[in-house]
Amino acid sequence: MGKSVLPMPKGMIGKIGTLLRRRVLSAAEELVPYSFDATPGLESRLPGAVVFPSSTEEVSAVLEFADREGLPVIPRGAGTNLAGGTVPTGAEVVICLTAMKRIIGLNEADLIVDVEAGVVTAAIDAEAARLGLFYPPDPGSVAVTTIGGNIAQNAGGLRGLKYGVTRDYVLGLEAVTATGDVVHAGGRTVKNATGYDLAGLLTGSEGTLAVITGATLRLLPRPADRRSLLATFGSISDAAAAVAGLISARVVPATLEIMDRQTIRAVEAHSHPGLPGDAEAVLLIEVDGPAAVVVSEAETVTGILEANRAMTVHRAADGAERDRIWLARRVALSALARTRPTLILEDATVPRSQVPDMVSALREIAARHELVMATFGHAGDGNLHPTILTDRRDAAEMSRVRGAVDEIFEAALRLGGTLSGEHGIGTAKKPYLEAAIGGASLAALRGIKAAFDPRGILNPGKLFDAVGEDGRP
Amino acid sequence: MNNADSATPACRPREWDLAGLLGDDLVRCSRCGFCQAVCPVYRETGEESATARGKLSLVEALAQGKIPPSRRLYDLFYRCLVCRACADACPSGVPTDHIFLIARTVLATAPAGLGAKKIFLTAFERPRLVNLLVKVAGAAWPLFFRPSGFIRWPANQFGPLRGTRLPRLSGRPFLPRRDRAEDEKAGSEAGSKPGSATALFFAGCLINYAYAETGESAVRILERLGYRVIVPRDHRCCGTPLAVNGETERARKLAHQNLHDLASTPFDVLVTACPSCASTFRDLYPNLLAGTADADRAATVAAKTVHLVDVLGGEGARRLTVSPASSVLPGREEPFLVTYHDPCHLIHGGHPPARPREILNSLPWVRYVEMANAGSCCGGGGTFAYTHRELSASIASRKVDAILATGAAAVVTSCPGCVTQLREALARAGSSARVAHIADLMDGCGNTSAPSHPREPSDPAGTRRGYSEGSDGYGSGTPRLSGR
Repeated sequence: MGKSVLPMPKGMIGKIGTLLRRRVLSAAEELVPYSFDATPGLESRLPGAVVFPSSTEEVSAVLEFADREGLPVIPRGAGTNLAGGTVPTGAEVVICLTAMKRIIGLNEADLIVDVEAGVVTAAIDAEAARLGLFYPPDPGSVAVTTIGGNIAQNAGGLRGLKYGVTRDYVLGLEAVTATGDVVHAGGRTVKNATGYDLAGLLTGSEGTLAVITGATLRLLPRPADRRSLLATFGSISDAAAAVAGLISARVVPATLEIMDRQTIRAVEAHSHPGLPGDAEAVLLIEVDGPAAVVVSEAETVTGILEANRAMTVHRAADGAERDRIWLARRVALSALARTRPTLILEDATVPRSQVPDMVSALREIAARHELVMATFGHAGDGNLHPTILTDRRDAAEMSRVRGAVDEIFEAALRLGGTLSGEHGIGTAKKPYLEAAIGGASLAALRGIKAAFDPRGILNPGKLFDAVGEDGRP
Repeated sequence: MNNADSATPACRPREWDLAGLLGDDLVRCSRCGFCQAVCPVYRETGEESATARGKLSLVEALAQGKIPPSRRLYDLFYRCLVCRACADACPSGVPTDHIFLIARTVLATAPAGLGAKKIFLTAFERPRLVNLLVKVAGAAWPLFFRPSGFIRWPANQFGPLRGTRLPRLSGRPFLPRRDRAEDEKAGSEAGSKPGSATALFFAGCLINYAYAETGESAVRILERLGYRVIVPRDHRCCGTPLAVNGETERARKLAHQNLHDLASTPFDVLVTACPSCASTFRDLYPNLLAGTADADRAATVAAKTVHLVDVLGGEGARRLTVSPASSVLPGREEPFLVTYHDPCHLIHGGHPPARPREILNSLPWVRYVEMANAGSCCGGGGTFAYTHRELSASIASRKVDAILATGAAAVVTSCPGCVTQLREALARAGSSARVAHIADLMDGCGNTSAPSHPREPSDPAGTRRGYSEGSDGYGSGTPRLSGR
């Protein structure tokens, strides 16, 4: 048995093992892969132990134990968090939900599906698709991430503009509290006005209020048809203005993505989907719905784009062309990753009408800090992903990156936006939270946290630091 | 074979040190976690140490001295099929498989208790010894193995070899070929029209010792396609088992010896029926020998290396005449339902998956059905199936489910390792679905010389289960329902 590295007493690990009658990871070699998530540039620390409960009862037993012993815990799914929400800060027990991966049942009459927290999100949509149904939220990590993680972060995705985000699909949750009690929040009905919206509160709570073990999700009928379009622009402001033009014409595409010149060049070099070399910006658009509506909507969109200074508008003629268009968007991050080793991907979101100003602000920030920044993202809902291309081994540049990131947040807030459209706060954006939501709101959040988790054992150090009477940060 | 000249490469091997790794390759891992979605081991264990990003974090921690090169670390790195699905899927293009092999090289020096493994690995450097062992094993085979290929009781029921089913070691390896003189003549008549290309067929260990008939099939196919075929006089391992077990220097030596021998005979294309051998020549040798005197030779051979599927794909298969009656699959009039399993080292080695499917679709008496996740690993992984039996069996059982779900009577693949693994897994599951290497399938089509095995009587009702012993020249090639 290897030595555990942090102050997690050996006896404690033994007790957890006996409790669950399951393997507990505690050796340094086993813990290293749990010392990080997908957030770049964060310091890694080893957790105290990792457990893999396979039922709600087991999660409850672990939390009861943790409560008794005052052990901090971190709930974790696939660990693809982008704000450090699953990164250990000091000897926590990681409760890894990946062993709870059953799709319990899909109810066709009610258009709902019951799942355990560890199910990979793409599997839910695949199961729904078999029956002509649809689970819309599709974050970029959809093939890897777990639904529990998506719920804890209120994940978004490319279809957010038309279909909303994870919270819009959570009807009910099963969760375990800091004292090991199992609560059932929400229910199985589309409408539910029964007490506080506990399910809504837990959605996006980033593991700080309860450990989500299961969910009842709403499904929609799968759209019958879809059409994709690619429009090129001579400037990114033109593209941003065209976005505003579409919305003000009351057209709501399912997906409305923007890519800037930097991104276009990287994507073209990487997989040659045939993006025009002289475009300063492109919009990638998908409309979906019943076949007749889709065709006419695609035409409407084309007209609006042309009226908004689009240089070219290309409608995909068949499935292969459609795939090529979306390949260009899907590989954006990979293509950029090949240009420099470290990508700092931000998530600042503004009201859609402010997208042109945000885009200018981003360019100005990048220039002033002498950084290379590519911008792509969900232009339709104002959720841009300014991506700084850097190298984490270059300390001087990393410090300029931090300065630039601060200013990106300030710009977003100044334009009436938020710190994060979909990645969450975790640890990465903690310092900005008070500025973003204000002191009174933060106090309210602290009050809620204290009510749910008085001992502060659930994912400590995330979102905000609770200020308790015992002075514990 | 093993000439004194070629025993010591006259070169300075490139230094592989972990600190050097913290260069551009390792830092590119953005920890996005996309490797989780494709890792066959993660799928079974759900533990991050299985994933590429998990192992890369361990490499980094090892290089920074944060963890020691312990036995536990060694085990974590060996809990990996080296299937390359992660390297293929990585959005940042991190060469994960190369980094893992380097890590295994460093770890090979550290932990104790690997004596048995080191002894086993020397076999790959001693073909003459192995030839002798194989002859002995071939003779003693029936004492330990049933005709079905399953190991005999009590080992079949108890202990780590439970459920083991191996290909028949016939005692007569592919090389040296006794009838080579005749083949050369036949080859030169059949294939050496002026301007016909020369193909060097490299058998590899598994075909050489366990599937000699597949080697023969491959040679015949190449000849019928108009190649003049040459084979090395004696067998030598390509070196991958050594490289994969961290014995980089010894692998380099084998690479050098192989390249030295290959340099002495001109050939246009190096063809193999084993994807691992193909990727060894194409990817591993240039990597192993970069910066040495052999680098150019390695690059030249790499450029000439193809797998049989590459030769058969496209026009190749169409040039072979098709005759279901002499096929390895029981002859029928109705379309024979067949599915295909993609070997990892083909599908993650840059070989288009469309090719084998084109080949199968070109056979009018075959109805091809795609299985779910055809590209996911069978769990064989060379010796992985024997060092990690339970994990390998778990992974294989997913394949079995996918195969059975298609209702196919046979699964075709292009790797002798996959053939071995799938035959064992299907037999264990009580299925009578046959497993055929694509070389044997295509050789049976229009083979004008006597087939290497007696033909199966036709089975129009498709209800035949199990076959009588020895009726198939593969020996163990026929699964039995009652194989336990």
